[in-house]
Amino acid sequence: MKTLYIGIGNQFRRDDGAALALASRLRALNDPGLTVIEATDDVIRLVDLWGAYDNVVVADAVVTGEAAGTLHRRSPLECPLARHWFGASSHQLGVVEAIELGRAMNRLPARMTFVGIEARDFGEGQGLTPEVERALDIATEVIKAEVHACPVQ
Amino acid sequence: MKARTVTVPVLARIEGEAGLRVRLAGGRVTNAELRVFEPPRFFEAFLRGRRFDETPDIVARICGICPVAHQLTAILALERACGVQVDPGIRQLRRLIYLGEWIESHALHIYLLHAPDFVNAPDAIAIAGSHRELVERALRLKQIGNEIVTVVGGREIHPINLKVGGFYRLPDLTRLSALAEPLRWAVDAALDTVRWTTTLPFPDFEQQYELVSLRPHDEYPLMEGRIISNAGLDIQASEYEEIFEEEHVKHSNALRSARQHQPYMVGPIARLALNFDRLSSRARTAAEEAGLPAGCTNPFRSIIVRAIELLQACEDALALLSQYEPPHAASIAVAPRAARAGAVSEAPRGLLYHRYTLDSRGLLLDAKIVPPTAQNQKMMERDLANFVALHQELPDDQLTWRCEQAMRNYDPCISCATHFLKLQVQRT
Repeated sequence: MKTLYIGIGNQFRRDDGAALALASRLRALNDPGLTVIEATDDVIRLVDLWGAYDNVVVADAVVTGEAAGTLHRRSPLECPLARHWFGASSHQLGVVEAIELGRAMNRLPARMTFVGIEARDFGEGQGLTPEVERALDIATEVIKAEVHACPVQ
Repeated sequence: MKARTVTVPVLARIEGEAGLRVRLAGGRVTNAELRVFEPPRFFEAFLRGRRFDETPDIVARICGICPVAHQLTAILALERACGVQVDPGIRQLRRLIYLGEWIESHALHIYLLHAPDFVNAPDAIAIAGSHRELVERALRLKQIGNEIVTVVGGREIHPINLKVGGFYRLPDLTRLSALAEPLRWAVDAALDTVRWTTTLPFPDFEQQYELVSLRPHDEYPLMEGRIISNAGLDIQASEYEEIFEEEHVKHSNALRSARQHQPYMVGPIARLALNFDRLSSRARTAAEEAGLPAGCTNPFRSIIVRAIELLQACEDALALLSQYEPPHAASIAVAPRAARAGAVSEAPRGLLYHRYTLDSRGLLLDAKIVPPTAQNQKMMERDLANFVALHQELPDDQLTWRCEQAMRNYDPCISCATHFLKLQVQRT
């Protein structure tokens, strides 16, 4: 079973780039069972990817009120993600809509995990706050475990 | 008769943040407001002092749906100011990327934002459950538009390859050619879209509008032509500010445009009515079959008009691919000079005006940007007032629902509309 990791964010808005930084770490693993992509543009196109993989892990920066660097692991197959976790975008349909469209169209993969990385600083510039940077160590292990839970057949 | 107020605090399925309020008293509409509370964004202010060649990448950020419209309109104005003309091949590529944006934007609005109004669904997700094939078609059409923008512009949102004088790099010919096959599918899908939109139920609401759009010499409007209206207006882009004024009203963070204090309409309905003879034969036939040969005066039917334009855009993009002859260079050199010039183009939502003043070093002394939603805002409020006056027998929930639809007829982009310069703060 091949796993797809999708990191969503904006690397030029500090912690909003957390899932993209995680993508870099995961790509460096060179794991044949893992495909890594970054989604920095139109997230709604992800609907086309849901059905192409059996196991999908999506990660994005979130704001829930917890301490920066807190990781939130959710299964979108069991319960829709909370819209208020994500910054409001007046222009684009976001990851929640992409997942819910996929659900309505029966396109979601057999296994799906969302990893929310609690962010603090969405200011201009590159680089993560130290707590968020440290959280990526654990996030990497979480996603490696996801890949190993679904070995390539 | 009891006083009655229709209020929608936050309009759904539009780009940006706005609400509406209509007041009725004694059977008369006493007030109808599109309340734009998205904060002002001051683009015109922070363009001052920037280099002219930075402008396209700055104004792209006004909007995530129509960045190409802002980039190209700025580029056209700045090239006019600097007195340069680009090669035909550059013009072809500009048309192609602009059409890609039209395809993206129209597919998004028709199916994911506007369609729910006509099939009693709260949003596109509900439609995906009941009409899966429509959402499949929408996503594929939108993706084809995205792909055009990516191939020509470097990425699908806020493209990075457009510059004053042309492009940073010419697109790869193989990737350009590969757009043809999906576009052939898109033409058929757009035709299906027109046919589907004609099956939707529309309320009776015929209106009289002054319609304003570009009128090019021999093609459907996009980047060239004179500004005309069905009330006899016929001017060049350079005369825009002599004819159209902007006004600030308390309930809106966007400036409203007017012509001699009266509202006017820009966008698909205006373009189609004023350029019906510029449609391709297939798009014209589709329009006639849709019952729109003399134009459309019911704004609720704008979804049909947008579908016809989607078809036109797909056909034009396909034709451009077969006609494309790469220019000798990706761009021409542009030397700045002290000058002031404006340009207009047709963004997906309608006429877009940019005007800049440069000094001899190429620094911007000032900028003026008038997006289509700001031009339509006054007409949207008139539609609201007229609709409520005509349909006040409807119960509150239905009347509110229809008022929301009346705003979505315009595909408003509030984020574009609040780009403006001046904010007055009164303290007492």
